Amino acid sequence: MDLLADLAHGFSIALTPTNLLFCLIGALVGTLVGVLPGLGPTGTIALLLPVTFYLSPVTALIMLAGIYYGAQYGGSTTAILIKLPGEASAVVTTLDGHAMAQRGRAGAALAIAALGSFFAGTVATILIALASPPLSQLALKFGAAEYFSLMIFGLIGAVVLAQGSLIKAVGMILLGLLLGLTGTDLNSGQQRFTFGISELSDGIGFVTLAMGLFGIAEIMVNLEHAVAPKLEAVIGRLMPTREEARQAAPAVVRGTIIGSLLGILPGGGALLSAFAAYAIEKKLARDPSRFGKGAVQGVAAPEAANNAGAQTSFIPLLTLGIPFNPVMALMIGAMTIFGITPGPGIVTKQPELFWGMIASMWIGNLMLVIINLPLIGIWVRLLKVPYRLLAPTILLLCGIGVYSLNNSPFEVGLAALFGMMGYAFYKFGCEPAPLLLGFILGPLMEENLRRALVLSRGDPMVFVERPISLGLLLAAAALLIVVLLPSIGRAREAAFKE
Amino acid sequence: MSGGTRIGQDVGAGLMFAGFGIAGLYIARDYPVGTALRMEPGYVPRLLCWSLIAVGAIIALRGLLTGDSPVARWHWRPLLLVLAGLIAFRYLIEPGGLVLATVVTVMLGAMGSREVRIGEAVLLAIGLAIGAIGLFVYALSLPMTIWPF
Repeated sequence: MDLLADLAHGFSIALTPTNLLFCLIGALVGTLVGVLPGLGPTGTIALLLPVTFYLSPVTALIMLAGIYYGAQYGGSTTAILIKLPGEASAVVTTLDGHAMAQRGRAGAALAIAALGSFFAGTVATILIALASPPLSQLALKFGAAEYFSLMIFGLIGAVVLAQGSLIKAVGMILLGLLLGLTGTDLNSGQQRFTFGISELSDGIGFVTLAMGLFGIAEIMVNLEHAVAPKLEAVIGRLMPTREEARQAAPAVVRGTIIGSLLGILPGGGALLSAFAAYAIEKKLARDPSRFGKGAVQGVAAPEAANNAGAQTSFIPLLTLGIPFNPVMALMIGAMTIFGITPGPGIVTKQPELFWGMIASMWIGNLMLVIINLPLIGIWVRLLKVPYRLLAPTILLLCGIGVYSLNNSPFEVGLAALFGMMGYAFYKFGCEPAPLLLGFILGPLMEENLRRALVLSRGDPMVFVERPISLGLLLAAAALLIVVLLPSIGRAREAAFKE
Repeated sequence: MSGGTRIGQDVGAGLMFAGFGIAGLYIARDYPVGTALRMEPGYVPRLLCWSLIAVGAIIALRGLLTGDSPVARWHWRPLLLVLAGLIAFRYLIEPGGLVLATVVTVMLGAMGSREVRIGEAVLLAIGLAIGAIGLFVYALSLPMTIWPF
């Protein structure tokens, strides 16, 4: 009963005109960047962070969340129509979605993707509402030792579930941890890695780093190959046939379950969920050879999964205050700007923020289904804006965005440096996401490690004597062992190869 | 740059990680270290730098031993012009103001594309300068100067 009252309270907040408006703006901006290849939700959220200073915290977070799940809807549109994933998590949708489009079933594929996403979004919203309060109750019992062990678990999970080479992910995390040390050491006042530059004594700005690695580097990479998408947009009838609907429905349910579970895990989120759901559909199918040739399940499952994963990745953020993927790290950045301490206290101390955000997610999903299907024509036309015009525009927005954070020209130069680093990472096949996680978690880990050791009077056994801490460390060890087993390592490679 | 790179992705990444580690050790050479139970500010940086060097060495060796995928060609034009655009913004915004910074940044960014059309880029720069003033200075009232004088 409490749950219903809380949800009603949430809806009363999400339905105020301002919040509705910014929920819509977030969803539309998300769809836009999802459609446009070369600008992802991570870069966009970093770009819009300074603008959110002028909103109330609830409104700002509602809008930023809308960008993340909106991008999941938008990404599938271009994946289906022109075989160009606007968003990384829509890559698998290109396989069967575009094959359906070539058979003249583009409309049905789009409708299945949108309705499947909506179903998944609804389930994920309910899941967040059900799971978060008890989880945050549990998290309130966490001391420094538990937090440290949780972050170890998070970092190992991020390595295990990262795309591409494991050891490169380890290197990126280490580099992120090192960058996170920049600034004044809290205990001794020693300046570390500041080169005597006063702007660096407070550390490297998180938005500056994210904007360089994701925004600037993306512009450089995208300018290399001028994208001129060919439009063969015969969308056709939107309604799926009865046979298509019969095939899609169970796949949507399976995709939702997979996405909801993987979204909660460290390193998880939309991308991993979509890949895993596709692989599982292919395994379950009676005739796997149909996949890649327009199998309805190959659209329904990953689209449901990426949306479910995008949303449930908010659970660790809202209950534990720990971001498990770069977008969530940016949400933490936004909360800190507003002076909100991310963590288990949010559910009880900031109920209007917590329940308002949950309710807005469902409303945003509903808006996306209603608005987007009729708007597909407009989104597709936007693709005709050539990248040679888009690139300088995004570059300018990055410059203004970084500058306006602290009115500091120095940080714009720093963003340029990180952009160059991001370009090198791309060329060397290193994913930037683990670096960002290391950067965020590094200072928190050091703080909790030192605090736990102070409280235990220097006894390191504190990490294994407390049951929750021990459990988390064992889970981390189990993850590590699992991924080092050769057979599972191969399966992991196969899953990412698709 | 026509096929000049001989090093592979893994070797390149390994050298990069090791390079960061070595540079970090050099910068942190004077930070007090302490012991594992009484850590001083130099302890964690040194630990991370040595780990980076080790991880970098493993990646590079693995690349040398097991065959490496070649590094994709570096395109210097977008890389340098995008950087130039941002650095121009960094040095123009404070004494020069928003209009000058916008026009120069947009022009440099536009030249990063091989398909650049000068007339179109000039129009875009002017349009974005007007838009930026409207959005950031008037609508959001960010404290920014518009003109250099």
